[in-house]
Amino acid sequence: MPPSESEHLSPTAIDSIACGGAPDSSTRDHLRSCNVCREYVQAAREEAAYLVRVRALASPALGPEDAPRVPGYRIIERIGSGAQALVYRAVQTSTARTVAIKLIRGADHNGAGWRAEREAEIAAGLRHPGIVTIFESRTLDDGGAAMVMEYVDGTPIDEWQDPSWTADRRHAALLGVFVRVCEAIHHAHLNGVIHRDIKPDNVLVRKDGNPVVLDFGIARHGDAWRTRVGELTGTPAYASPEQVSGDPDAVDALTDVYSLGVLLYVLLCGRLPYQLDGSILAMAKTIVDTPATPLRSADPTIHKDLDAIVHMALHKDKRRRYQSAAALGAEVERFINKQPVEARGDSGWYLVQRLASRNRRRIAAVVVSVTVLVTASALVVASMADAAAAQRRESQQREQARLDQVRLRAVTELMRLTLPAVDAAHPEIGAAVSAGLGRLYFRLESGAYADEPELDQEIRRLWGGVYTGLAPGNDAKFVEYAEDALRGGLVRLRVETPSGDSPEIAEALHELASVLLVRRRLGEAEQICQQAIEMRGRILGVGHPANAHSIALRARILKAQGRLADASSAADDAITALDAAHSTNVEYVHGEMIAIKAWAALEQAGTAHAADLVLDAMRIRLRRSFPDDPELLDSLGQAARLINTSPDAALSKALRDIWDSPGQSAAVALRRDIEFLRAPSQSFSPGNAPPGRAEAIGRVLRLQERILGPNHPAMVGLLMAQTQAAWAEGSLELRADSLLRAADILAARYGDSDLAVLMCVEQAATVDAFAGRLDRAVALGERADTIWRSYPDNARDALLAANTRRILAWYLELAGRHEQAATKYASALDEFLNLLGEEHYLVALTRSGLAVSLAGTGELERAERLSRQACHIADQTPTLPPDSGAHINFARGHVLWILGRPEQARPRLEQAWEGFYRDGAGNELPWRAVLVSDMAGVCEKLGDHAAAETWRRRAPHISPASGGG
Amino acid sequence: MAQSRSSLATRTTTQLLDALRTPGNEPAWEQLDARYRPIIASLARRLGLSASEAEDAAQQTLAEFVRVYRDGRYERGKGRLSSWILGIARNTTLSALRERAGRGAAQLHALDKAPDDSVVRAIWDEERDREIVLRAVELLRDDSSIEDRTLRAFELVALRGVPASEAGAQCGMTADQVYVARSRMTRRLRDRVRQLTDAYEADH
Repeated sequence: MPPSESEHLSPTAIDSIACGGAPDSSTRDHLRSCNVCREYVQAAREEAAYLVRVRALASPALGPEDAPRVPGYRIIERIGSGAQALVYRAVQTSTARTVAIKLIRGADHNGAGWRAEREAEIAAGLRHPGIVTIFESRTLDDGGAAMVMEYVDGTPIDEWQDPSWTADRRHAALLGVFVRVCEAIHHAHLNGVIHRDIKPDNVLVRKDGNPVVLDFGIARHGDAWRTRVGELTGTPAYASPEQVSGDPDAVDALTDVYSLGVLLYVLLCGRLPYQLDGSILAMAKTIVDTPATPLRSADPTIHKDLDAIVHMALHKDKRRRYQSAAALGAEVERFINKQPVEARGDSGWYLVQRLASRNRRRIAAVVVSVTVLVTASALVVASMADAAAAQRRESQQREQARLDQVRLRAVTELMRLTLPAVDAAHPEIGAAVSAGLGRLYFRLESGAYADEPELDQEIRRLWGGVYTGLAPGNDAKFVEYAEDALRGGLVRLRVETPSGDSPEIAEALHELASVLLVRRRLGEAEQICQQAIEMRGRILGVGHPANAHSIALRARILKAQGRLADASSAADDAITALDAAHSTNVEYVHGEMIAIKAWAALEQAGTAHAADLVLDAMRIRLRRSFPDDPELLDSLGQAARLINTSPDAALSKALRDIWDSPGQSAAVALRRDIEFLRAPSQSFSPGNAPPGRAEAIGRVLRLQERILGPNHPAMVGLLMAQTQAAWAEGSLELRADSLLRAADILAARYGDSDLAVLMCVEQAATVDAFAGRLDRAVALGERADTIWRSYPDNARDALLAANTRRILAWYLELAGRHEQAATKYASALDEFLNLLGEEHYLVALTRSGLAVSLAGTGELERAERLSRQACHIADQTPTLPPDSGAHINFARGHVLWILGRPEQARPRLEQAWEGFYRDGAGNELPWRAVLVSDMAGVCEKLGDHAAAETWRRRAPHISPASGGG
Repeated sequence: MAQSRSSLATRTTTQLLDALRTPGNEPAWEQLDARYRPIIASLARRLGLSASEAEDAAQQTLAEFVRVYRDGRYERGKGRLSSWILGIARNTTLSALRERAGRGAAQLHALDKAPDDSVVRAIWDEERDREIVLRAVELLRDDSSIEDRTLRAFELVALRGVPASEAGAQCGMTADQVYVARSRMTRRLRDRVRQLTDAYEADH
């Protein structure tokens, strides 16, 4: 460090010179004569360079300047501030866990630190998914407290929005979330903690749609809003009358119920229940005296029931509010489920209105007892369609049928728009609907509407629309609901039907038997199915198609019981009944019945007979099944068993014809497909991959596409599996194609800039380059480059983005587009230099690439220099990845060869070969063509003709020169 | 317990690994964990995981390493410790990304030799360097022999790029004093960084 004696320059002057400042003439003179000061300048330069790097590393993690020091944590940024507290995002150094740290100021607040700590201790005892988790709290030196809690990445509930939502959908989603907020608050109440400051900022909604309530027990006793009003901009907008009256003893759980009421009001119509302005006293008076403006005068589209709920929650007299947060939540939930709400009282007329669907008795029979609206909706769709079909058959009331279709469409529209939101709030409802749709699909496939092709088509179309709007759900939950609903419905129907027999009861029995079959309660299922068959026989006659379906159900149940002989004869009965019904489209059920007979035949070892049955069933099922249909698996299992027990050429041929997989043994293909369907995640790698697995997946994908329509998100999973299979089997083209298809599907769903899309695109580009499809590799590389550029600066990972550009340059070079390649390389190089400094091997690697491109454009001098620099760095990097080393050696050798220096080129090229193609690997690596031709040339030049010939024989399987193919 | 925690902090990774062989040596595990967890999490973040996913990935990676190590599958001859952990971290992260892409429906296996390996390594190196610098800064902050205003002036001028005159004004120092403080503190920082780097690097 410069001494302060006057004969030397001051530290300030030295730093100024070190940083490139121009010294005046006397300083210059001094420097010329003073060795000491010159050394200081040099040292200051080094120091500055070192600190630039330190700053680059440290600054993103340094946190704000005035951040407090909380030992064990690294403060990243301030994320909130209020009158009492500052909130920071921080990282716990020992666990790398992101946390939020709340600093409660309070040295001057009369022991606030201590109190906050006490409260935090209580709040920390609350363990609930809807309540933020407190990890620890500490008293700080100044008497304040630091509270460390879970960092919640979410949006305040009143700002929670998805651009794709309609107003209705947002409404539905908010109500669902609100119910869970009530549950969380109730949990706190049960543990003796009152929130006291419920407002949108304290209720965050995570990305997955789950709410989290913050700031439990932190608000100081009763007067949180006052402090805020006094010091900041807040208002007591969410406070209850008892809070603003200043009676701390009156504050209890019902205070939170009131605030929840205000919150609900704001969520529903976007404004406060009363206008608050003027002095704090005036506001308090408003809260105590002024009743809330009716919701429907703010927004007439809001349902009366919601208005009633909000008003009950906002009652000035707390004894007349809901008596717990749970009661409020349950009420909102009842509204969601279209059940009568308590707030409206339970007059007969009101109940009748709420159960409006009673006006159609036939539908009511199914719906009335169904506790969940949406479950009902799925059934309504089915039964309305049934009703329509029946009416059109029986009385030709075409107008009525048209109305039914309109209604069907309306119900569907309702489901399409509201259910996805409900789905987020109530997974079990979503599950029920999905399962309901599954059953509707089954009905379609079993030909329930086959006699009315127009209707059949319409339902299919609508079905597709609804289905794609829903996530697949949990079937187990659905069957539970379905059983309850059907049993309840049966009780009601029996009360309403004194004679005891009706088609509706028969149908409900049939449905109940199906549900019991799914639940594996087989004895009961058989009994109830028998009742359905008998009742239908009495009402409709044995030959009625509806009865054929019940008989088929009985065969299914018997088979599930393992009573194959009985099942087989029931299947015969069912087939007879189906034939007698002259129903045109019952193929699926036919296939199933034949398969049941086939199992019986296989069991009795009647191979020849069984083979015919197996083939028949297979033929039908391949046409009618969907890919994850267990029935298809069932047929495949039969075939495998047949082939195992009696290898038979004719049988194999027949199966092969059916399966349409030319050139392969059907038996092998079938067994592999069965394996695949049974264990889709089983992994293979090159060398242990059974051939044809990718193709098998392709067949299933085609089936899937036929069912779900093109580019359904559900296909991504299989496409990824296909990518992996193609990799294991060495099929580059298929691998790239499936990656790209996955990318397109993901992009349609999540936008082009999703990281998963980027990953697929980049990977596909690489695979294409290896496959010699260079034009497409370039196009994809450009697409990836564009995706990165679409990211805002602070969201883009500069290193990864630069690497994408480097790789794009590589594709361009492989495609022979040297100039464009050089431009891209240069831009990537700049970026890498910025990020990593001179000596990083990625910089070396990029220089090498640039050198090769420049060799192509004839700028040999620069190429020579760049490749030399690259080698220099590579030689000093012991941890260099082997293939990076190979690239760098290749570039050097290639440039030296072009410069006419074969002796120097040879060892570099040999090392490159060793790096790329050691152990016979990497046949497809695209540099191979150039490398081989360089080596052949080098050897020729050096007079080693034999070696040159050997090299020429190593010509690649795929030549980049034939690129684009 | 054989050794105190403070002695563990400065031990090389090799020594830590040896300590791990002693059954029940929890402090050594904790130290190894604290050393690598932030780096793994940052790597996972930069490869596209969300903060909480990245924390999970770090947890999985370390758990997997513990399994590998306890099973005796980790051989020092076969590569450096950091390379092992990096390899596990990379696979864990990529499969988390894939799982998200495929909605968990199927697993896509290894993008065999993805050309991004060197980039992953570079990100790892950068995050390790960052971790070391931050730790070194923390060591300076914990050093009671350093005067508060010296440290503050250094942080302002060296880490936050505040001009010396301004930093001086904030800390009650002249610009010349700030430069002198900066030099002295930079030397200390360098020493700390060097020590820490040695401790991280000596793992083979």
